[in-house]
Formats: sequence, C-alpha cells, structure tokens
Amino acid sequence: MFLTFLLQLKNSIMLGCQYSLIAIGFTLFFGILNVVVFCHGDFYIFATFAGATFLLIFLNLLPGIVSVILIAVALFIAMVLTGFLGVVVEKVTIKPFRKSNPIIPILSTLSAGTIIEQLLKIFYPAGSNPQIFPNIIPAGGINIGEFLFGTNEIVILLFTIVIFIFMYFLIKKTKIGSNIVAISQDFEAASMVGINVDRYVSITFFIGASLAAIAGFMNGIYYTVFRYDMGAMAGIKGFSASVVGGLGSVFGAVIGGFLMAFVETFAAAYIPGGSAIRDVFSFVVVLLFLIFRPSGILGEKIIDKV
Amino acid sequence: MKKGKLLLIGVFFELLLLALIVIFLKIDNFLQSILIFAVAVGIWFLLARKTRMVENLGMAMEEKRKELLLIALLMVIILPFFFLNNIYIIHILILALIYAIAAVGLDFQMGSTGMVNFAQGTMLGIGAYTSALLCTTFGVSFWIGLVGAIIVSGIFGVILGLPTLKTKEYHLSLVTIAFAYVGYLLILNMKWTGGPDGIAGIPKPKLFGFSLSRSIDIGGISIPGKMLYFYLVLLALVLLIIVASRLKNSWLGLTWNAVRDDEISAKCYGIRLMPYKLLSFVFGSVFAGIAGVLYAHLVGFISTESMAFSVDLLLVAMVILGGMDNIAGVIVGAILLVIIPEKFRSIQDFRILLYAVTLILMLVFRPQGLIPKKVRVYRNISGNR
Amino acid sequence: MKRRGFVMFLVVFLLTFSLLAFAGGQKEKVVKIAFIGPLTGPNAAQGMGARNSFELAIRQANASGEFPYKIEMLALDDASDPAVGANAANKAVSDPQVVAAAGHWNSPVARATIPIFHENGVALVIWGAIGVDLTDKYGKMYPEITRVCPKLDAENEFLADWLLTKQGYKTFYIIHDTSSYGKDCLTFMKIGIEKRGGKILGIDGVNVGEKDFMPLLTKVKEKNPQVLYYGGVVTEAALLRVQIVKAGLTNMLYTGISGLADQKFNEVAGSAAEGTVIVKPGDPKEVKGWPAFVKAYKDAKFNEPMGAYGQYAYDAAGVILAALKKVGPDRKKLVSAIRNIKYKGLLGTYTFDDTGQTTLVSMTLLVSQDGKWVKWEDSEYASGKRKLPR
Repeated sequence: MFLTFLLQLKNSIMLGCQYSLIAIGFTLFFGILNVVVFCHGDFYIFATFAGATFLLIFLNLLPGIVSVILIAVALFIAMVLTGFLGVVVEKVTIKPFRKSNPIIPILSTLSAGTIIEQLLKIFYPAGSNPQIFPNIIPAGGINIGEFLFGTNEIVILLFTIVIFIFMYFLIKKTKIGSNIVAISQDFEAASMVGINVDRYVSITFFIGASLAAIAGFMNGIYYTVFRYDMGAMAGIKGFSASVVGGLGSVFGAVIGGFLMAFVETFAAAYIPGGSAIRDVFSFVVVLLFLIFRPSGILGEKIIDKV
Repeated sequence: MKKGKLLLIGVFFELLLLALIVIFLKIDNFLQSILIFAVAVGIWFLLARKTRMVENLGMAMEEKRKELLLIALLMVIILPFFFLNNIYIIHILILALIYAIAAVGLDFQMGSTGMVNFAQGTMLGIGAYTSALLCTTFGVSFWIGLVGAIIVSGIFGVILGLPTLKTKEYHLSLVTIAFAYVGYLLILNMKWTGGPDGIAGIPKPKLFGFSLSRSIDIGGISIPGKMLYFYLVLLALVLLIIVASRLKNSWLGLTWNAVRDDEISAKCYGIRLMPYKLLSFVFGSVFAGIAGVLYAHLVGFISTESMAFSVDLLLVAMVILGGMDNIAGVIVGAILLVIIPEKFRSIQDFRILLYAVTLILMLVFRPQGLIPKKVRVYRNISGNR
Repeated sequence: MKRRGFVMFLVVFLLTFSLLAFAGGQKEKVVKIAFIGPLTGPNAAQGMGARNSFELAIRQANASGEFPYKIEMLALDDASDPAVGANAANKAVSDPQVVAAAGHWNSPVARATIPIFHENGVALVIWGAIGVDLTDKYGKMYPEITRVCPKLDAENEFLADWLLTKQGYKTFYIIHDTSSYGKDCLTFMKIGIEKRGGKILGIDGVNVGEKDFMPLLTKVKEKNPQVLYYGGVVTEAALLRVQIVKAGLTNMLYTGISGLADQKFNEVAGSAAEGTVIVKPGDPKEVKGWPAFVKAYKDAKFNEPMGAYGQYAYDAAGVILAALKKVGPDRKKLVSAIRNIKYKGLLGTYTFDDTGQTTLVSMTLLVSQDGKWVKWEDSEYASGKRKLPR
C-alpha cells in the first residue's frame, strides 16, 4: 500500500513538472501585460512536434553521435523555434489589443492557438494521426526495492529543478529579470524610465514560450505518443495551475502546477471510478480557489495592483 | 429627402440582402460559394464607406425603423419557401436561428455587462438535456419540457453567476471554463443522462394537435414539418429579441453598461453589483436553455458533443464577430457562423483554419464587430429627443 | 456621387443574378450515393480510408459500363459529431439525386441520423459503427437500416472465449474509454468474462484525449491481473501500452478489439506493442478477391491507407450497387432490395437478418509481432517460439 502511494506520488510529480513549466509561462505573460495567452498549450504541443522532428532528423543523419548531445541540440532548437513563435504570436494577436477590452485578446489568442493546431494537423506529415517521439533515453533506471525510478523520469526531474533554479536567478539577479518585474509593476512608468518595453515584452514571450517548449519536450520523452490536439487541454491545466498559484507569481505557478497534478493523480488512483472524472476534481479545486481565494496561493500583490 | 424615398432605399437594400442569402444557400459549389461570399464582402465594404448612398441608408434605418424591421421579418418568413424541396437548407436555417437565440443570451454577459462566458454552450446542453430527459423518461409534452428547461437553466445560471461576485476578467473566464468542463464530464459519466450514448428519440413538438414531424398539404403544396418548426423557432427568436431589447433599453441595461464600463465607479454610485451580475447570467442562461430545448427537439437526439467546449467557443465567436452589445449584430454573427462553415464543408481540413484566420483578421481590423453597437439614445419622458 | 453608388449597386446585383443563372446549369443523368463518415476530427483516418474504398467501388462500377447512368459519390463529413452528422444526413436526403446512403463509423452519430433516413425513406447501409442497438433496436423498427460490419458484442464474445476457454486466463482488469464505444466494450466484455467464470479485479474509465495513465496503471499493478483489456481506440491504446511497460507491468497480457486494429498502433507504441492480442472482424486474406482489391486501392493512388474499415465501406458500396442494378434508382425500391439482397462481396456473401444485421460474421485473432499484426495461427506465439505473458 505504502509503495503504491509512493509510486503515485512520483506519478504526480512527473505530471506536475509539466504543469508547472506551462503555468510559469502563463504567469509571466500575465505579469508583464495583464493578458492570458490562451494559445500557450499550443506552444507546448508545437514544441513536442519540433523536438520529435529534429530528433528524427539527427538520428537519421548522425547515428553515431552521443545521444545526450543530440537531445540537447534538439531541445535547444525546439526552444528557439517555440520562443520565436511566442514572440510572433504576441506581435500579431496581443500587441494590437493592449488598450482594448480584455475579451479581445482572449479570443485572438484562442484563434492563434487554433491556427497553430490546424497547421500542425494539415502540414505535418500524417499530422492528424498520433505521432511517436523517438525513444532516445535508455530504458531501465534505479530500483529501490520495488520502487522503480526510470531513467527518463530522473532526467525530467533533474532538468525541471535546474530550470526552476535558473528562473529564480533570472528574475531575482539579472537585469532582464528586474526590468521584467519593473514592467509588471507599472507598464507606463517602466517605459518612462527608459526601459524598452516592447523589447522586454518580446523577451518575456520568448522565455515563456521556450519554457512551454521544455514541457513539450518532456511530454515527448515521458509519454512518447502525442497528437496535434493535445495542446488545448494542457494549456487549460497550466492556466488553472497559474491561477491556483496566483497569477503573476512564478513560485505560485510552480506550487499550483504540482497541486493540480497531485489532485488529478490521487483522484484517479484512490477514488472509485475516479479516473474518468479526474479533471472534474482538478476543476472543482480551481473553482473553490476562485470562489474563496481568487488571488491564489501567492498572488496578493497582483490583485492589490488593480 | 422624402420619407417615401428613404423607405424605398431601405427596402431595396433588404431585397438585395435576401437575394444574396437565397443564392448563397441555393448553390452547392465551392467556387460559386466563394464568389457570392466575395460579393457580400464587397457590399459590406461599400457600406463601410461614407458615401451619400450609405448615409441615406443609415437615415432610412433611423427614420423608418419599424417599417423596415417589419419588412425584414416578412422576408425571413417567406425565406423557407425558396427551399420547399430541400429540407437540408431549412434545417441549417433553423440551426442558425437557434444559435442566434443562445448568442443573444450570451450577449447579456459579454456585451452588456462585459463578462466573458465560456459556458454558454454548456447551458445550451443543460437546457437540451432537461427537456430531453423530461420528454423521454416522463413522457411530458414539449411545452412542459420547455418550462422545465427554463427553470433548470435559470438555476444553473445562478450557480454559474455566484462566483462572479469575487472574480472578473480572466479569473471569471476560468470560472466559466471550469464550469463548462465539469458539466461536460459529469453528464458524460453519469448513468441517468445516457452517458456517451446520449438520449435518442426526443419527440417533435405538437402544435394545435398536429406534430411538427410530418409534412402537411396546403393547396397542393406539401409543406415539410421542418418548415413549421422553422416558424416555431422564428417565433421564439422574435419574442426573445423583444425581451432582450426591452431589457437592454431599460434601467437594467443601463446598469449593466455602467458595471461593464467601470465597476468601481458603478459601485460608488450605489449600484449593488451582485444582483445585476447574477441577473445577466440568469437571463443569458435561460436564453441558452430555450435554444437547447429547440435544438434537442429539432435533431431528436442529444449527446455531450452538442455541448463540447467547441460549442462554447463558437458562441463567443458569434458575439464578437457580429458586434458586442448589439442584438442585430449578434444575430448576424450567429447566422454567418452557422451557414458559412456548412457551405464550405467541402474544403474540410482547411475550414477550421480559415475560420480562425478570419477571426483574427476581424479582431485586428474591425474589433467592434460587423455591426457595431449604436450610441445609447436617451429620451425624456415626453418622447422627444 | 449618388449616381455612382447606385451604378455600383446595380453592377453587384447583376453579378449575383448572373451567378444564379450560372448555378442552375449542368444537367446530366446522374445517380448519387451518399457516403457519410468522419472525414475530419479525431477519427478522420478511419473515415478517409473508408471513403476512398467506397469511391473505389463506385469508380469500378462506372468503369464496368453496367449502369445506364453515371454514378457519383456524395461524400459528406460527420466529424464524429452527431449534430454535424444530422446536418449531413439532412443534406443527403434533400438531394433528389441521392438514392441510398452508406454511413458512419461512430455509433452516436448513427443514432442521430437513423431517424432522418427513416423519415425520408432512404436506405442507410452502416459500414463502420458497431454499436449493438443500431440493428438490434433501430434495424428491427426501420427497414431502411442495414449493417455490413459485425456487431461489437460478437467481437468481445470471441475474444473472451479465446482468452478464458482456449488460453485459460483467469484474472482481468478492464479499462475503457468513456465514449459510447468504450462503454459498450465494457458491457459485453464483462458479460463474456463473467459467463466463463473469469474474475474481474477492477474496472476504470478514461476520457478520450487523456494521456496520463500512470496513476491508473500503478493501481492496476497493485491488483496484479493476468490480462488488461482496453476498450477504446488507437491513440489512447498506444499511450496505455507504452505506459504499461514504463510502469513495469511486463507479465500482463494486453488485449482489445477492433478499435486497436490499425497498423498505426504498432508504429506508435513501437517495441512496447509486442505481444498485444486483438480480435478483428473479417478474415480478408482468406478471400479470393482480396489481393485484387488491395492492388486496385494502391493503383487508385489515394493519399490515405484504407484502414480497418475500408473493406466494409467497399462492400457497403457493393451491396448498394448490386441493389441498384436490380431495381434501378428508386429510393423506395432500394430499401427493400438492399434488405433482401444476396450479394457476393469482398469478404463473403452478404444477406441481412430481420434486424438488418449481416449474417456474415468471421473473426480474426491478431497478435503484434515485430511491429506488425500477425494472424494468431501464423505467429511465433502460436507455434510456441515466443510466449504470451501470463
């Protein structure tokens, strides 16, 4: 029983890594521009496609090269591509609407997401079918008694921790980070003191989208099967996680991501008939948060700003 | 400009629209559909220019509003007669009217009160399921099903509206998204709703003793039952439009607008936000519930696919496309978004893509919608402006 | 200024009316047969394969010169959505040239369209939807409805018999998707297992589109069943299969019915697919006409593979065409002609019972071996060279 519990905990952490990374993007975008980017989930699945494609190309062209380098290069390309996609999407679907009713960017980013999804479906070879992510990480792993810790799980976990630390330093210790924070706190004042606001908005979108790319790449490594329409749900989960954690707070997004994953996993595992309605449980948690603590776990500052 | 001439211009314009609509519906060829579509877009661009003609037209709309509306209604009434032998097109027209009802309801939240709602399709499903369950398990008539659906969707409107007291904008949008998913998943996974099998065999409504499922003969012309259903839905739409425009032009509509434009100052003027926001959700949900009932009894089958998230998105798109806070605009948006995709079904995969691209272009170049809202006209009690 | 605006309007007006005249052109003796299936959406792969096979049959009929008119296929999309399917069905019956229809891979869509076909007296031959009630309930009431593919209960019955009686498996865990298909799979597999004294250790549903099965599989691992049965379709089945290996459930047999019967499953699940046992209706390789059909399909240069139900769509077209040859293009006559037909098709001789269900039922047991579906009898598992997990 206890072993099963530990395994379920591991399952929820693996899922939580992805949710957190997606949620950080949402929170960054919301912090800097006060918008929710509804196509963020499609950045995520786009990255899975990009990662799989480049891995396949590399595996065919350079069969001898050490796989770690291959993975790193493919991941890097996926991150850069997705990052630029994020920048473009911001320029086309968010920048024109900075001053308008917040309903408009909701709809424009939703449409952008649909476009990304449909382009993948139509123009990727056999795009409407489920796709396979090359199995690059060696099987096996560490066995502690009955408790199996797979190699890919270890890789994902370590990498996520590295990203979290990197994000912490980026925001707290670098000029980019402090400028982003300045813009989040007061958009107009930041531009008055000479911060090139548009540039930092682009940088933020690049960072946020490439974090989604990392999550998408992990999605490929962990599940190995993916399809063009799997982005939308991941996006909604990430958005929920960022709201539960507190929109605008990066650390809150991480907590929110793991909380959502925890609720889903344990609902599926321990409630009879729960796996069919696991999303009901996570959404009910979101609703409860919205009703009783709309600012989220760590989100007081943002609400005060309004 | 003489009044008679104004009327003539208005009627001419309406006739042109009717001709375009009939032709667009009649043809069944992708290229021709595109051509007609292009012509319609051309006309619309002409109208967007400030020529004398357009000004006259605008004046005609102002001065002869009642007459022109009546003529437009007459044209809609004769519309199905162009398609007597093609119940498919009548079916599509009915669907367009049903979605128009739901979209007008959604506009109470999105247009009047400025709250985005992604659960209107779910409300439509709740109305449809209520009536379907009442009619199939208890064997009650369409009309009792309708009343039941109105009550149930009203109750769910309150439930959906309650969290709005504490949330707004994006948080509110997430509330509605979560509500939509929870509703969808619960209906899909419960036994008494038929689960994934849905509910089949929903009876057609009976009107004055005869069922709307059979065709009747009047003077040698066989009128399909679908056509009678068309008039039933049209009647519902017209009544609900009257209700909606009365609401929007009343103090209630004014209060909603005040809440939309600035919540804090509305509060300062002593408006209690809670009852007004709730009312906007309740009215919207009841409209969606009615649309759902009409939908369920039209298709005769209801399943969770009819309340999927894509339906929620479609309804939001209708409101935005047509023009927020403008009933005429919302109805145009609904009709366009039902009819055009149906015509362009032949391009299959590219359809959804085109759809999304059009929406973005629309938002960039004309965010106020096809038919933007008019500035509210205040009248004093004596009726003079 | 005013005149110019008026002239512009006039031009537009004339243009539209000339288009109307243009639209009224082209008249030629044409008979149409409607094909409805999921051409877009999550099941587009199945729908397109069937559509192509259907079109192939129509092309061959036109080329044969046996019909005094041109036969056309009216392909309509139901997008796996009952509402869209109802629109498509209305479109089909509204077209006076359409004499009969073949339709649907999804049973809920069929449930929505069957009343429409019945009201308008148009024959509907179901080529891919395998929900039991379609013929047991509707086919019995409405003479318009027939089905060329076997029902879902037959497949499950066959599989349960093989697993319990022939192979002696005892303990089972059932996972099904929450679609109509998955729910029916659960119902009939459960009956099949319990009837033969098997023990079901647990039942769980998953939503279509779900990708994370680890919590569920960790739970399954605790129960340690001999067999995991999945009632669902390819994407989730492959995801599930991959995660079964990841969760370390290597000594458990993975099995399912025709929802998994697609080469895509083997491709996507990769090496994990090895040893998956499924049952699939039809035994095409035994049939004489099969190689010719495969060749014709290849020569027609369609973009999509024929899929698991292409053969049934092809035979559905064959049934309609044979009836058409017999009674001519008349909706009413076609309804009874199709019901009473005796047609020698690709998979065998079709006749329909009083529910409109084909009496032609054959099942094939397939096992995934080296990334391919191999007939059980020909596999190394049957010869004892490899062993199924237990």
